Amino acid sequence: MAQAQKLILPVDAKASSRSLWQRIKQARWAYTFISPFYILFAIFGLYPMLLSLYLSFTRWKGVGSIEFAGLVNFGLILKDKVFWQSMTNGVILFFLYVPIMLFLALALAVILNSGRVKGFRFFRTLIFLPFITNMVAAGYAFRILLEKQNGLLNVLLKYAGLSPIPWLEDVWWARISLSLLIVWAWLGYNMVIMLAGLQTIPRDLTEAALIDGASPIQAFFRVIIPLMRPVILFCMITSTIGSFGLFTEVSTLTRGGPVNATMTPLIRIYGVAFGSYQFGYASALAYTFFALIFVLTIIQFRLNRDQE
Amino acid sequence: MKNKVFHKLLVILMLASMVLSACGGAATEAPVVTEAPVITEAPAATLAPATEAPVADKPSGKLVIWAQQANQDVWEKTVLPGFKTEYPDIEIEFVNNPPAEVANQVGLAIQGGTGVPDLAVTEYRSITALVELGGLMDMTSLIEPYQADLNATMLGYCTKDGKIYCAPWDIGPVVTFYRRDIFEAAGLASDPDSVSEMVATYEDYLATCNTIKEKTGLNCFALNKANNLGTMLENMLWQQGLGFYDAEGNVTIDAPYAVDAVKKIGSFWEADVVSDTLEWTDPWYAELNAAIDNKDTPPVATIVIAAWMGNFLKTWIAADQAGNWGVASMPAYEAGGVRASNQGGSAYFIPEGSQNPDAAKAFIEYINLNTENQVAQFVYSDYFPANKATYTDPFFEEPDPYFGDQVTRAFFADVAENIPYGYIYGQYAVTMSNNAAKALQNYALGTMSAEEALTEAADAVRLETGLP
Repeated sequence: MAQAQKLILPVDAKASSRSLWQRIKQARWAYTFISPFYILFAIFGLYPMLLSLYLSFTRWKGVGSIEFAGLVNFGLILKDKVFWQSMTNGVILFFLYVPIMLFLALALAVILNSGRVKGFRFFRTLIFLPFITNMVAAGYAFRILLEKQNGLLNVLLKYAGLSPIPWLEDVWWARISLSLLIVWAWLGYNMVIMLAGLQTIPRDLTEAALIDGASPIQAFFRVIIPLMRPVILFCMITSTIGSFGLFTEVSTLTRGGPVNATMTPLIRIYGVAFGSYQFGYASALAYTFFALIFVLTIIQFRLNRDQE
Repeated sequence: MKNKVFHKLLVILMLASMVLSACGGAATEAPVVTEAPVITEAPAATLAPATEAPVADKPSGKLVIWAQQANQDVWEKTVLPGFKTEYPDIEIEFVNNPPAEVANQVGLAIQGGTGVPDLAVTEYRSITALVELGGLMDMTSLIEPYQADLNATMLGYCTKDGKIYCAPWDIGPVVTFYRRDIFEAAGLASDPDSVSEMVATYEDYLATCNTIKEKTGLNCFALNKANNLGTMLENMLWQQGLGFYDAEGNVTIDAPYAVDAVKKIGSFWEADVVSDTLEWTDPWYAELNAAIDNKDTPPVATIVIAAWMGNFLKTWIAADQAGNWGVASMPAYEAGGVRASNQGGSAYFIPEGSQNPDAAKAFIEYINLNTENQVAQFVYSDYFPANKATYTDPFFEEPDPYFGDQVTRAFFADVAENIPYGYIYGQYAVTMSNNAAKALQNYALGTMSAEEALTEAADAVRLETGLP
């Protein structure tokens, strides 16, 4: 019996491996057609990821020999005030712009979706337009608008008899200015996603609520928002990652200043890699950053599940 | 339920790839710059070779040069036609980028092992990192015959272990530009010698600023607090032969002398004799170009900056003030101290992977090391040459109408000869100056004392660079 089993097992394994191979062979055209993505991903996605994982345990200046350093880089991170400041900045920026942006995006989406707005396609395009504007150009335009002495905003404030605001010269105003730029640029994107979400909610539900005597505001908070929760969660998570991963916005508008007030983790990582040529340490920062964001995202999922 | 778990897994996977690709992006992406326009020169193949040497011995082929647009303009307007006649078989292709990007992208190409230009020109601040890192071609044999003519301090930044890796083009001897009309309105003498005397030290400079503020109500110069670039601090350290690190490679941003310099800068804020305008912004240009009675944009009386600023003032910043600006010495750090420092300047370098090093060397020799050609470029551009042999040219003794017929160029040459070797440029120049500037910002905004701010900056640099 035992012998029989021994005899059967390899045959079984062989059969299953052949069937896997056969299955692959059968679907070879499908695999061929999807292969470009995986090949490109392996070269430009997977390889850099694995290489930087390896580099995070080394000291390397970009040229010359790679020196294995164990966990030294990760030890340095604990003492890296600028990196932790950049993480704190990410949290601050998140609270400064994400709630306002998502609320505005949802409100605009509901208004445009209500069917009562004439030319809603025009407005939808208008609000989405900043998203496809080049961020470098937009960043510089905001710099000029927010300039302390002759910027348009301060000139208008002066005409209104108010004192000028140090938009880019003060720690908190610089963060607010950056938030303004981000809301301006990303509102349309989030609104379109919310619009798509709204269109999956059957109209009957809100209509039924209204017939049952709910006010439109009640219907918004009691019917639409609960049903939109997955979409809002998606926008929230991408915005969280976005606020820690800001790069172009910061490098064109505030360049991380004043005194690191708008320094973000990505700007920091870039500076360490290409300012100081410390690729090992920069990779360690990148992986620490990834781990932190991963944890943050899991917490967000948990919070959402608890509410459910 | 199963579906839900799958859904979550999918989102987590997607997140992982988003975050990692963002990091990967940061590690591979070039910084935010506009696409560089590629300007291709038509080959001057139809021109007959002009010299006696047989054409076969001369370098030929394609020569890809990375430089900023302004550099290309200077060459095209002055010496490039002559080069094309001399070397008809070299086909030049320019790729333009801002100075910091040239070095950055050459650095990336060197690390990538491919795609380097055959020749590049950029600022010392960026080149010195490449000199230290390696990956540049040794051009000692090309430079040696001209070595005595080149500014020794700047050549020092090109040298590592006795080998020369870049060829200095221009340098930035620092001087005090001042407004004659404002000095006169303040009841002060306005000739260069008297003004040099009035700003003999930073203490004297402050006293002069106080007088100007009292008599005219005008600010002495621009010294921004929140986004200060740290230029004044660099000048103060460099002129003493000091810097952000020492000869042994120790970080010295928190050294007592740096604390002292920061406090000296602070005395100008305390006296309230400076404007809060940020350098290289429109309001800053406006302050330098404003008439003395302009109430909306009151002008500033002085600016301590490199000689190349003279050309900027003349051509695009302060053309309205022709005749009003003058040139004096920069203040000494202490009475009797050195009154020379350097800001900026640029050099030529050849990456090791250059496809056409012979043509690149021919370009450097003809355009940069040839004294006559260097003078031609200086006449056109006011890029102050590192080639000292040019200083005896009669052009240096010509009065400059923009500066009230002052003989400025010979004056710049004197300053250039006295520039000490400051420890500002080097492998970690960018990191060090950024952190030092942040320290100055912290101090200026009152968030930290000078000692605290500089200690934090020094610790940050030590952590990031691994230097002691």
